[in-house]
Amino acid sequence: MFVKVRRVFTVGSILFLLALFTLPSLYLKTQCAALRELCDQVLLAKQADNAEAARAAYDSLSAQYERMRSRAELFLDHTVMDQATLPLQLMGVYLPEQDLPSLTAAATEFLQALDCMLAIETGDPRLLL
Amino acid sequence: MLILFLRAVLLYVFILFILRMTGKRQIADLQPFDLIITMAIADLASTAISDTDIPLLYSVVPILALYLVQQAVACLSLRSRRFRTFVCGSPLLLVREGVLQEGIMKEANYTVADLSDHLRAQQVFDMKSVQYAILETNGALSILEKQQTDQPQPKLSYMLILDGEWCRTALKHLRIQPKALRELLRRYGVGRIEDVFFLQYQGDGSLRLQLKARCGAKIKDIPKKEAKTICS
Repeated sequence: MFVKVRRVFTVGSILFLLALFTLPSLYLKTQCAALRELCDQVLLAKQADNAEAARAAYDSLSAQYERMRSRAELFLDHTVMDQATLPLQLMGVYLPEQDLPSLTAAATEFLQALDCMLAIETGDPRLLL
Repeated sequence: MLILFLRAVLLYVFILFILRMTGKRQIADLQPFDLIITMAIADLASTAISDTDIPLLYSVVPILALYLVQQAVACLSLRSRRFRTFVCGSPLLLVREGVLQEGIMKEANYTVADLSDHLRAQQVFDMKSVQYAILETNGALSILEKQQTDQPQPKLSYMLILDGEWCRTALKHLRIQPKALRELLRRYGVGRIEDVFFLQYQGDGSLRLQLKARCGAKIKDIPKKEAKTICS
């Protein structure tokens, strides 16, 4: 009986780990692609001096990020998530102002934080050591 | 605070389950690879218990990984004696027929003081009453004491065949020819060495044999008189 339980547990562990190796990275990949697109929309609207479109894109970006954050916190270190949260909030601060370089810098930092999350979940070999 | 408490409880249940799955009941049973895993699991668990910034999965995944490695090592150890010796080492005979084996003690970084400590812990206060002392692979010391009467002194038992494989060192030590042993086994109805679960040379000079489960797990005792014929 015990041997059977152990076998089932071992097989279950392998399946669980395989699921953890694939599903979170797939989820992050799709979410990051959507966030990247929304971030580009914010910058493009701001460059075109379309404040309303920029605000709408930023709101969508924030909502999308919050949705992703609540799920990603189950499998990602919260401090890694914080590295993306701060530049996103800074984007919100710079958005009403006529300061495109600062907004771009905050957006770049936000995208870099997303890259960092993706690297962790997709198993970037540089992080191995 | 409630979260910390719940995380600790969750990890406790998880670790208890994992340790139970590994099949070890007490520290004394631990082999080196078991010890590494137990220590690592304790460290991994403590990190996730106290730091709520870290998802529980950050502890669960490495613990599961260690569990799977441990299962793989245990599985390979069962299948291959060479692998088992590589991972766990082999027992060392520190005292042979009352004589301390200086070379082996040096090899094991084992001092006479260590030996005395272990002997005292087993209620043996006099070195001369020790016939054999073996340092087991889990660090425990096994002792065979001398007979106090005029009876012959006890001798050590040796495995000659284990899991269908020859134990060459013991055969060499006892000067037993595998060919002669094979012939003797054939007389007892054992055609293939691979069918033997174990064959032990008993301290009294007789042999004890058990066949593998697939061959009925039969036990056969070969008397001293016949066993003597295989020693050169």
